[in-house]
Amino acid sequence: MTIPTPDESDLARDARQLALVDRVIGLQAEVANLNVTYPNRINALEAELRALLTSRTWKTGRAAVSPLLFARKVLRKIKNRRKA
Amino acid sequence: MSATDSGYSSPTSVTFVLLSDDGGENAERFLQSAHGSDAIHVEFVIVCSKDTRCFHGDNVVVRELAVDESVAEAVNAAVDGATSDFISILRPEGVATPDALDVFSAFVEDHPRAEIIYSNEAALGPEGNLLSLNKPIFSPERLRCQFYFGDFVFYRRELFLRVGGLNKARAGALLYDLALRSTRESRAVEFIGEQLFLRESSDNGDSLLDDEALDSTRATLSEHLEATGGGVVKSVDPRGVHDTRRLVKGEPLISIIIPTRGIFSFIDGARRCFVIDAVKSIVDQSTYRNFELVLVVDSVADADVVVELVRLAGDKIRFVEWSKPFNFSDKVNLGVLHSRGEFVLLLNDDIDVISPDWLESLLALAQLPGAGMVGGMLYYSDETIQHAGHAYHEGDASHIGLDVPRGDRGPLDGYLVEREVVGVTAACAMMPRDVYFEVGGLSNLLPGNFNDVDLCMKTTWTGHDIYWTPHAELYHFESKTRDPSVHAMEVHVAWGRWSFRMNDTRYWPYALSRAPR
Repeated sequence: MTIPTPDESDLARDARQLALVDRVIGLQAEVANLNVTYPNRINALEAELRALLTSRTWKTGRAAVSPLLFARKVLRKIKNRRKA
Repeated sequence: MSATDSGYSSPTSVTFVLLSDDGGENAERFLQSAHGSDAIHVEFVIVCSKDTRCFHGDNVVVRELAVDESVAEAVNAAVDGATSDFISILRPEGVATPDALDVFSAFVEDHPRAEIIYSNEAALGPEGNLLSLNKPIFSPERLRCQFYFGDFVFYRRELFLRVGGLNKARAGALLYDLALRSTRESRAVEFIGEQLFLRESSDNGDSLLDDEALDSTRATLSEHLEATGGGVVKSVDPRGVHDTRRLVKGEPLISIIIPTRGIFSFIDGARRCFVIDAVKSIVDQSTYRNFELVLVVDSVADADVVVELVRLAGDKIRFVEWSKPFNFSDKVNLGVLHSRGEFVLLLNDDIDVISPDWLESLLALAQLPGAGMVGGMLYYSDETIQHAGHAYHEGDASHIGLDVPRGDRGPLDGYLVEREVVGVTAACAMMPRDVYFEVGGLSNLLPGNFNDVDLCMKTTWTGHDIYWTPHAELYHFESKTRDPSVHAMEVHVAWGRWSFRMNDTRYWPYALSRAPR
């Protein structure tokens, strides 16, 4: 009395579709959950980032490493030219 | 948005129409409790057969019933003459709590479009203690089974006039009738979670309904069902819990999906196969006959079990083989994919049908517009309740009614009435097929636990309603056939998605009968 599986590929496709819909709703829920659980978390992180980028420490560090960054950029260009 | 923007003026004014038939003592007490303030203007109309008390006050009018005048006519005349924003009609068998009207006024300011407003109440217990009478948010299906709004209900005067006021043909059920007609006219029904009214006694304020009241109740419920998609009044009850049912439309095919191992085991010393008993009870008991059984059976199933199931159910049964490791969700999903019904009924294999019309009871609610899921009343074998709906309280998921003796009425008679719920167990849950696919079925990220909680959450998340009925009764021998242990990963997935909705007391604002397992 076991019914023959209608079509394995159809079944697999439908099962995958169910799972995909589940994942999409699940992700929506997770985002909503995070927004509720940590309402200010994203804003706080952005503020932290802004504060970091405008800090003296960051600027000093940036100034200190910028010659190195410049040198690396030049070297990479030369290297690429040779390859070409 | 301001009250003026909404088209309604503010601040608020209320006319209390007090139905006083006790010589006025209660009315006087209520008058003293319901003070106006800067925020709210209050006036009173006392409707009585004779003014024996000589009420005084600028804001008090006494309206004696004329000869042959009904209470409904007197109230309607009083409201016609009033100019207030809101009308509240009550038998003053209690008092307004301190600041009740200020709370009401502030609420109206925040909800300027509200047309019907009711609130929680309190009652004096037998030993003078205060008991909470908490109510659910607006629940239209529940309202057709009981007038749970209570004593302190406010109607926009415009709405009251729009619906034609009280109907004198509904003597004994005037206020219930008003509530039903008003909610048909306006869905702007709001609920105040604070206790605004203190009843004198804890008997729900309802004396038993007399014959006249029961006749009126039956008539008004019949009218209401007729006007809201159909249904039948099976019985009306003096205690105010009425058995009204929605009716099944057509005869759609129901696919009953049962995942099972399909083996015999020894339970309490006896050799038993739950799924055989379950299928036998479904086939023998169910009065609704247009169903198919789709059994998702482990490849280790006992051949004798399959033979017996075929003998019991004949061509109503189909088998789908499951050869992968245990995953309840995938197993059920596979069964659904093999099914053909317009409605799917997820059912555990360890159940026993009690009420023959269980399928009709579930289906009638599942056919309501917007319905996404419907569950029934499950009992343990020891005659205690296992499930009367899901409860998501204080970050946890549990069952309403857990371990309460069968027959208990529950808070606000909640175990006796069909009602809106936040979720139901997948041990017995009917869904329209479309909705099942719309929400992605049971999540296979949850192989053993909380997949039903997740399914309910997804169902309401996508805008569908969930209902529970006490008329689909089954025994459920829970977890006797599977490993009930919870895995951390399942908690992580389910709570990672839904923890922000795990304290939802809108439809069940009561403490749980037992802490979650």
